[in-house]
Amino acid sequence: MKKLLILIFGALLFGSCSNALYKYYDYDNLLYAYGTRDFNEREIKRFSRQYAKIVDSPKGKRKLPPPGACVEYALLLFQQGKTKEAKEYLIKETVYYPESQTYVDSIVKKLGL
Amino acid sequence: MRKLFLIITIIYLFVSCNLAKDVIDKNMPNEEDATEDVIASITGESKEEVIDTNITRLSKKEIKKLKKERERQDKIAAGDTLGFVKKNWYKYFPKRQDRILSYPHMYSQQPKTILLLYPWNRSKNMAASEMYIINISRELSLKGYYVLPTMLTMNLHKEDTMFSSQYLKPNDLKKYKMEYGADAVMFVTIYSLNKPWWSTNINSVAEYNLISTTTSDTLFNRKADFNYDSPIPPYKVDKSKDTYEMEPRTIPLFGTCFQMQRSVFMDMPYGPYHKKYLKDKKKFSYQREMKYKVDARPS
Repeated sequence: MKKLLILIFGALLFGSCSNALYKYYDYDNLLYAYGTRDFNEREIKRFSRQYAKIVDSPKGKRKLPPPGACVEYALLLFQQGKTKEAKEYLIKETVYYPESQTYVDSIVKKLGL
Repeated sequence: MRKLFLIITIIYLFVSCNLAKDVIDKNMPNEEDATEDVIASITGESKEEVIDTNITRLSKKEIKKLKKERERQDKIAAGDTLGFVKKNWYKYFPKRQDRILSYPHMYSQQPKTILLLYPWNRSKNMAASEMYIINISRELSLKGYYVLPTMLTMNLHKEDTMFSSQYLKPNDLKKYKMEYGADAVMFVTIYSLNKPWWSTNINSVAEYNLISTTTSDTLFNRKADFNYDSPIPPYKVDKSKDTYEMEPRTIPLFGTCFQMQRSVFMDMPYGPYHKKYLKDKKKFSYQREMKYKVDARPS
């Protein structure tokens, strides 16, 4: 009986764990702020510092940053003049998601990286 | 005597004029008849005789019957073959339809990359497009698709270099395949996102169209009318320190958008990054026009 209870409790505990593919942290707040406000250089620095968490400490089932997150972070880095790092993140995106190659190529061409 | 003679002459003149007119009218050939006669004489064909047709007057009962029959034929032509009882039955107890039947192109074309266009906002809420685009991209990513970065779509829209769903035609989609490698493009039209001051209900209506960039087929189509009426907040704000916070008035609207996308894409086939990819063909699917209400007010 005791074993059964432990089993049920364990199953409930595992069942309640997030089954999502990616962990978004506060991506919604960040992107909403980005879409509705005008950011100056200082704000962009603060914004990218918060965004770094999504890209650098990925969680979720796939243990990868969500699709497009690396490209978005690369763009923020580019806006701060960190072109080398920006290029690294763009390459990361193509490694994680090979279908993004065409898109990344067009961005590299557009930004002149 | 003189006067009488004058009157008689005038009468004679009047009568003779009228007689002369009648004689002239009688002898003048009818133009139509003359041309037809001439044509008939040339071709050698005899003139057709027109026979009067019998006109039957229908009774009111017969007219009603005829009208009903015509309506029935129109319904059959429009594909509406169900009876009144069956139709109402399916309205409240919809027939279960598998995803393979509802979205056959999703399984045959298997799109991987989705470009989310900036939604066409027809509601009175200025920030509705942002709320929708963020939540839709997140939901599609969690479904296993590669969604092209939303931040860049927002940037392009701000710079006026990318059209919203309002202006883009399905024929222009091929350029997105070439430029961005998108397999499908999502068009969203927001009709309303509002919370009236007299009510606790938040209503949101939107239409979604996922169109293939290679064949221009509609892969997924839905019109959703979503209502959220509950004291439980629809969205839990991630309160990490030093983050941007939404206005308290925006949170319920954003949350309703979040809940709406979850129900709208609940039956959408899974994408290539999901473990259930191509294994959900026999799972349920909703109707194309969906009305959804979360009503959890305490009685």
